[in-house]
Amino acid sequence: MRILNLVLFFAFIGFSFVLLVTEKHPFYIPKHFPKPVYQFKDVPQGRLRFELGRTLFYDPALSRDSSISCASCHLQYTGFTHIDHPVSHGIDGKIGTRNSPVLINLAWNKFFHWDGGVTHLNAQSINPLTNPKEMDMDIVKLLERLNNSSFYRQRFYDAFGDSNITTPLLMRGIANFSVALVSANSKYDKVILKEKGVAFTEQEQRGYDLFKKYCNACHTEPLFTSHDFKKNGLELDPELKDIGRMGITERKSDSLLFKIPTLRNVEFSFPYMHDGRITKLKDVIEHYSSLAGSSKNISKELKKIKKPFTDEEKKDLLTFLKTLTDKEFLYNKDFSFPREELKR
Amino acid sequence: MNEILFGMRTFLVSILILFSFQSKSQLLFSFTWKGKPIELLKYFPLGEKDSIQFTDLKCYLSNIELQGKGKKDYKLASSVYLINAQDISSFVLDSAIDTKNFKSISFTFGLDSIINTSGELEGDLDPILGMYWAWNTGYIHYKFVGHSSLVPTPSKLFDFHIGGYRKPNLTYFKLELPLTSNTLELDLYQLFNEKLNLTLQPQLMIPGKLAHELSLIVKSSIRMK
Repeated sequence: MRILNLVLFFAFIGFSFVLLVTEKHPFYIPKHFPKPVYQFKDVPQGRLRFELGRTLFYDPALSRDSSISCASCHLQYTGFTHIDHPVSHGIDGKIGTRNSPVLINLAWNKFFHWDGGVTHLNAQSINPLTNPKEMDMDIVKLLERLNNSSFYRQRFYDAFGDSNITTPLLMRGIANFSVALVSANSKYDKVILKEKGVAFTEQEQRGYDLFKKYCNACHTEPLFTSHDFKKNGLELDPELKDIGRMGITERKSDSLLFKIPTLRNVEFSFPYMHDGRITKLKDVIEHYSSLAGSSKNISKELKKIKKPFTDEEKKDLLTFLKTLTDKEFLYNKDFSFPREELKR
Repeated sequence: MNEILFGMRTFLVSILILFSFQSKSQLLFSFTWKGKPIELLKYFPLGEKDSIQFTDLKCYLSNIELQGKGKKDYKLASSVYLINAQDISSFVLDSAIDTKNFKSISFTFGLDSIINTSGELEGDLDPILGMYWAWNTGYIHYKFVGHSSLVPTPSKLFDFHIGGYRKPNLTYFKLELPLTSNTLELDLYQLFNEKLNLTLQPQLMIPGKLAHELSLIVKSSIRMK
């Protein structure tokens, strides 16, 4: 009887493994989205690779003192950003200079970080891993730590057919998780895709009309970003002294230009702007409204706002922005903390 | 003491390797100072009363090809080579080619924008090799580190990380040289003796105008031995 139990147990484990190997990676291209920028030849897809990336994303062992993980500053329930923190704190409580960006629809991004300094998703995670104010991890030591872990050697072998963990494998592992963070099931999406029984309310429709007129040039549908860099009228913070895109390109004309963030799940990704200086979404609308007729050096798209929004228009816009909330994404169990994997 | 022993060992082995490889007419690279191979940790005179010592010298060469005498061009096995003065085996670019059969060599000193942004991260492009800029996607194309009495800080450290692949501040460049010997050399004398003022500018860690200007000096300092 005991032998039979053992046989059944191993058969179950084997069957589960086969299921995971053959199960698809959760990344998908929504019907109404353009072609992704990400080259999928770089990362052949597979569920095991996704699961490995998810474990790495949530594992604090990736930081110098094993105290913080990627998820510490990128919480799922808020669109993978760090709510309530204008700028995030990393290892030893050190404070950075920028608001943690949301991790949404990254496969469509040409540039990463507020200044666009990083140009490939596979290479993106090196920055937070090694930044002294974030995870402060030496990649050589991290590889040593992971290669000394029989758990990770097995997981990398299962996912990539190689138990020798190298920088490219580590980066691809993490990217296999982050590339899968697709958000396209908000009320907006359902309306656009003409899902039966779903329609904007009158107020949402008014907000959508305003949005298309004044906001869509930069926060372009359906990704709600044009992936460009713009000057949005915020003055230089004298303490943070963040010059934005100019720090990368060295061009004076790029001073105070920051990457346009997606507005998907914006209801929950507060505080806002590159340094998190605006706490409430209604105040972001107020900021843009206040630029009406401004002679400030701002992007030409913002010059379209000739007069401040009325109180009704502000409410309409706010109501529309809330239709970009995708609770299926925010509470998707595929993206949550992998309890079983990290209970070691 | 250990540092001196390390420097002497590196120098002796590099001389040995250079001689043994020269007899086989293989393709080599060398960092030089006024035409002589640089020995890490050794002090060289700089100006009338100052000195300079190198502790770390690295550079990338890519897309190396030899043009034949009427024959097909010969591409080296790898598209990217990281030369590291602390690892003298990296001086050997090709150990199976008789350079006498070719008339010229072409290559990119540094890495072009495609390699910089490919997200490849394999082999000599692995970020653990200390040539990758995480904050600004791309590679340090060449790195010159050491000490000099000209540097006003207590450590006397100078540290130049030169890179950048965006116009107008490119720091990679293509060169084609007649294959007059089997050793390609980068002579650092002109850069440190004539261009750089280590008292005013002992380090550079970002792409930009200065990096581009230095790259022009580097370009004019590459020749066949």
